[in-house]
Amino acid sequence: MLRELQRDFAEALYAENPEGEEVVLAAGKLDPMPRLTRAQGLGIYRNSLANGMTESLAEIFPVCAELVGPDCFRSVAHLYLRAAPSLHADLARVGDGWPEFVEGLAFLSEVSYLADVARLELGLHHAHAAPGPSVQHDPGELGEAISENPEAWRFLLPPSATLLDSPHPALTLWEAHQDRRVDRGWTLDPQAPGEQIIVFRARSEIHADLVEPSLWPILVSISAGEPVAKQLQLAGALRSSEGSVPVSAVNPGDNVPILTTIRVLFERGWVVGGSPM
Amino acid sequence: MTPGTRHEAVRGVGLGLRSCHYSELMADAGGVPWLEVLVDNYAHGDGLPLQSLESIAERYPLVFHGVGMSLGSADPLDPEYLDAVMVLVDRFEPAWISEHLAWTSSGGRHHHELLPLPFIDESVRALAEHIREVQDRLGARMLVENSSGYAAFRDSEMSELEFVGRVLASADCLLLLDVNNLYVNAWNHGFDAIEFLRGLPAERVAQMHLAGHDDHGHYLIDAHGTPVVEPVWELFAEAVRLFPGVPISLEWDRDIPPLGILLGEMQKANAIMTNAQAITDEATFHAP
Repeated sequence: MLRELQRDFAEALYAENPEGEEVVLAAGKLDPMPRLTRAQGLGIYRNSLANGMTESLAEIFPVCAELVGPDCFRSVAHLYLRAAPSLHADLARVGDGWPEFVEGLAFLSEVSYLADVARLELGLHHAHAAPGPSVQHDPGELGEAISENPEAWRFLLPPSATLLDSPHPALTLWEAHQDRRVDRGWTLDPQAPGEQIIVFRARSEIHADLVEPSLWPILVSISAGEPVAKQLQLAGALRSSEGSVPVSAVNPGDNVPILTTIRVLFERGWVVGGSPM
Repeated sequence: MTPGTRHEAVRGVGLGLRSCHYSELMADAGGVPWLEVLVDNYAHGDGLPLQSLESIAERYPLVFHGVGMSLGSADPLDPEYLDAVMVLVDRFEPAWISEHLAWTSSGGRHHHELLPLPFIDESVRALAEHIREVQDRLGARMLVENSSGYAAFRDSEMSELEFVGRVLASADCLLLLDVNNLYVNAWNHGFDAIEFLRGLPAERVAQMHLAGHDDHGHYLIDAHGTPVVEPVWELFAEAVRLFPGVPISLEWDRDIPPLGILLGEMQKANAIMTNAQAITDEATFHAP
């Protein structure tokens, strides 16, 4: 009986229509209370569930909430509540499916950048709680160690890192909401190019950095767990295209690209170490 | 700190830890004796929230309070959630851990809402089985809290008081008596809160909660966003008289005010406790 009662009660909580058959079924298993009707009692739970989801999502996605306005955000949160069951007891993971969900809503197509701003905010949210790097290496020492056999090593991004390749200026848009440029009349240039972004935490500070197009393939390669040799190749190609280092200089015994390009990644906190493959 | 000293350190009126008060608490503002940690806020990852809690734990005795265990669900406990809680218990060694007499998940779906139980034998058995499972993992008794409820199931076979008592006895666990929840339920469901207090097994009352509620005219909602109201203070005074020496914590979860406001509420609770103790002492002194 308990399982059936809980199933019916839960169905009533998620029913779109507050007078729908799921609500009527659940209410039929209740007695009126001295101070509350059955509908009022169920309504308290339905409202609390919907408001709680809206508040939780607004904490994770504050800029998304500003972009669409509070009424629209609440409506989308209520749709999400019904369409995307929360499969984890951990409330901090409640927004994990939100970016893909808003991306799939046709009525939000005019704010096509919304999903990527959501991905950026989700990255910031998870960076807050993500562990720090287990080991941080000195890039010089690591470079020497791996130069012997770059096929056998891989670089490590911070455990908190999220990479976002957006066709929209998602970071610029997010930053305009942080420094309140939006309140001073700032508007998004529809012709603005897309942005490649890394979100990560260095000690207690959370960063969202724009990545130069030349460095992006290297970060993607590291993120995919590819060997250092691959990143050497990419860095060497970059140098070659810039005319400073010939492609022929890139070989397993040559660490010129790694000591120049990869060092930048370390200095910025985008790479925190390396490990054997 | 050994398990025995951890329990002894949790005395008097403590406070529910909220992140907006970290810095003041780290500066030892207000002489808060112990803190109640909402364990769900720290069960996600191993980053900044846990670093902050490490610092807090160096200064304050802690107890853990949870909302996501779903002790009253007809489904098994979520092993992933339970493991996460146990990792935190091992790491921070709280004096004890408490959860709600409620369910928050069903059919694999987590509702993130404390939902009401029918007062039936099957609910008692489900709760007792889950509580014993947690206690086996802990190697100690846990506390369960009387929840606020806004639904009365037609199939209920007993009163809330009998239900709570049977769960405590079946699971051999302890009670976190939420005085505000009791007041809200007594008002909404129409029963006598004092009678409820007097019917509880005093030897199992191990902690109390105080909080504010919202008054919606005909009914009340346990909202934790306002000061404790006078009738709840009066009920609390009776609870303190019946269950002397039980530690109390103040909860405030919405529109969280500056720490000074909470310290004022804690002082009021302390004054009521002190007064109750003085009356008890006087009665003992004059006893023939």
